[in-house]
Amino acid sequence: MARPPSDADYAEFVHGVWPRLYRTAYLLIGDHATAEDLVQTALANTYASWRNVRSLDAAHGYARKALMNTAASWFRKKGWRNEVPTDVLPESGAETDPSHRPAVLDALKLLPKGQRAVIVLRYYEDLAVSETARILDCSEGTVKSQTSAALSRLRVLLGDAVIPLTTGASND
Amino acid sequence: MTERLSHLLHDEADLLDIPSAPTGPVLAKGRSIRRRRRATSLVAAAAVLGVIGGGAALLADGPGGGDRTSDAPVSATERYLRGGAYAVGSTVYFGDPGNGPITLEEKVKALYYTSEGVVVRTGKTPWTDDSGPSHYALVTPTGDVQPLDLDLGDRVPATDPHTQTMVYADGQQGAWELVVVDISTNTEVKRIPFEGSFSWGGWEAPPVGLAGDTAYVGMDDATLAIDLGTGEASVAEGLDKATMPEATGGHALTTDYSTSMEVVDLASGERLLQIDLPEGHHFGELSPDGRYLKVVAEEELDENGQMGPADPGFDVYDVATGEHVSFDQQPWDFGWSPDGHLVKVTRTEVTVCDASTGSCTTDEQASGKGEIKIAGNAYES
Repeated sequence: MARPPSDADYAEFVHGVWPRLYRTAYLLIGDHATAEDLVQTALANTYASWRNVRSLDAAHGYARKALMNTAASWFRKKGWRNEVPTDVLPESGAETDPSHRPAVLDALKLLPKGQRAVIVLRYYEDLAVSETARILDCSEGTVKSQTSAALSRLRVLLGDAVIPLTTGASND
Repeated sequence: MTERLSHLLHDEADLLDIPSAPTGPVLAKGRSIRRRRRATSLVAAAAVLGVIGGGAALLADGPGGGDRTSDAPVSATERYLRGGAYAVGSTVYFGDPGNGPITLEEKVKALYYTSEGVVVRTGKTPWTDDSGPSHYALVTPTGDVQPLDLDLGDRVPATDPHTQTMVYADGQQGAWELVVVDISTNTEVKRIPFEGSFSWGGWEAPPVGLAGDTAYVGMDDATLAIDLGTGEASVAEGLDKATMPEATGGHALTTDYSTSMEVVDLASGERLLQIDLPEGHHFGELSPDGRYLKVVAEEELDENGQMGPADPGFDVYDVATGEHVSFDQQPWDFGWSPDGHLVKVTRTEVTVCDASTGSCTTDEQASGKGEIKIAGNAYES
């Protein structure tokens, strides 16, 4: 069995990975306190599961997976798939004054949790559709439809310059 | 079309105020979880031995116990069937690092198993959601490369490791067609019209599955079974509607992800395997030949009854016998070979495991740069 790291080694590891994991958690949750709790839980689980982690080199990936699983669990408990878009979003692609457009993170908060999750997992964490589907406990088709809906809404909020409107096949 | 969004997400995330890392509380919480797990594992180990004592013999030859020598199958095709196919960047390998390699002009995006070899989707980038175009070719275990006249856009095709057929759906609402392609001759064999509504997925046409001479199409109201010979379409009993048709080897997996999984024979409707799941959240995946079922716990209850991430590892069930072996490795690192071996490819090694015994062989990976793609795994977006 792999020997657990010393407290000093693990503390150094936590310091190193904390910023990136925190940013991912914040993008997923949209709340600083909850994001901090989420990352802390993921890193504690990583420490406790050292027989599977085995080395500090592998710990970052394990912690990232633990974070996603925990977040997905929280989403599921809150019924993320059943959420409906907020009514502050325009229903059509009508022209929006560019000076009033929100930052990407603010726009992200206006999406339902499910759509926000697929955007973060796919375009911040660069995960494939299949892995995103597994983490979020849904079909790959749901990931694609949620992604499509999210991009449509973000296009309205952020403009075509950020998310160009393409014609024909959207994925090829 | 999403590169700008990705860049902005990273740029704005970099501007977030990051609180100090709470190293002390993390360590304290980690120790507490570990103590609880140790206390519980002593009780759990005794219970497991009592229930699945028969599995001990299987596990004795399991992962970690497998030797690191290669049996060197006789032919390239046999290596392909046993060890599958994978790509590193633009280079395709069959079975093991010494078989092939075949280097293509473009980066490999995805590979699909057929009886003739793999259909390889390539392009300027290894990602399937780039701006395209994608190109397709049949690459055989003996090193032949035959370009295919396919223009699929984002349609999701299907192949069967035991046939030379590729199928995909084409058309539009009210006028769908199932396109049947013989990849060995690079010819479109026929187009079979079918009816139904498709709105649940984000593709141009509904996704399809293939098992022998029957194609399965995931529509809104039902998954259709279409006989490639007669063209007759019927509702596929045992497959959920509005989802990706999973019909590997003529078997289908149904599950509620939390209490049970079942494998049914699509032709007869017979229930071949039923598994009661421990409390938690689980995923299943059938091998390409439908003989084995991989069961992965994504979440499980901890000692306090709280749901949390499951430890790495997975079980593989023999659908015919119901016996299973356990693997103490990351579950989604593994793909499948055409004949039901588990295949894992890393930067340094290629590991092939027998799904019925758990024994593994490992070969050193040939050096190569680029994305690793295992045939049969879903990379489409």
